[in-house]
Amino acid sequence: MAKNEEEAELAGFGRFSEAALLILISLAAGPKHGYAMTEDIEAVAGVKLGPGTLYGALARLETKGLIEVVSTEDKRRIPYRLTGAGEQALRAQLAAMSAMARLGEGRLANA
Amino acid sequence: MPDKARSPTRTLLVALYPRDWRARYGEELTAILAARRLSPAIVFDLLGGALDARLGPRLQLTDNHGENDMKLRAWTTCAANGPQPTVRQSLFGAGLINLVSLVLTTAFRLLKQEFGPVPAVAALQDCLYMVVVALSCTTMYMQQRSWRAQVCLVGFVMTLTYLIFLVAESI
Repeated sequence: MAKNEEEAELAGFGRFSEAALLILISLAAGPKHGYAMTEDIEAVAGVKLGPGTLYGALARLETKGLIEVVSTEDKRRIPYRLTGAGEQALRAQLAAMSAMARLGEGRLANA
Repeated sequence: MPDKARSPTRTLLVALYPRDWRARYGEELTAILAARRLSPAIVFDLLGGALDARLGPRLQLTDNHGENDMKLRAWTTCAANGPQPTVRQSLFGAGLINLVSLVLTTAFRLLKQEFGPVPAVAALQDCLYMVVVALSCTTMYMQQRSWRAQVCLVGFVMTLTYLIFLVAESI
């Protein structure tokens, strides 16, 4: 998959883009179920995802093959993990954001 | 699981999602809702999520592609034989729905300022979505009926919906 296509994976999520990125970052630390994800995201990013937003993003990530279910033994706590494609998409997205941050900082430094 | 998981409002909110979606995420969503206080922000978030799940891009949550094809054919057949309003009727229906939404939202804001977040006021906010859905169904499917029949049906549905949410908010 080309780098631009990987970045575009999340951009195509519309209003779920930010939630999808936060979920991928949360899952980069290891498999988690929905509730653990919201707690982790609130702790590290200060964003409390609503359940409708969380599952809208989860469904899109799963459909795109960026995350996958680890086990469905307990349907009240289904753990998810990053797939290889998900890891690539996250790396591409973070690299693009880092480049943008460096650009912004450089321009501010010259302002 | 705490009793909150079986509260009518939570059950109703989960029920707004499509069946295949509920089969996939329903139990987990119910468990999460049971662990959180049901604030207006969460209710709106869930309503938006349910609307997205029904009207947004079709997500491949299960492997029942054959069943989905059958559903698609059934929906296509129903749509072809369903209501075919004129442009004037469509505009009138859309205007009426927007007007009622505006009136109810304004009423909710004014009543909330006056009385605070009491159950009777909160129920008005909760039932807004269902009332608009009922109103849209009526304007689409009851064009051939008399005004009296349409007003009676909408009034009945609005009252019933409000009472259901009032009971839910009072529990």
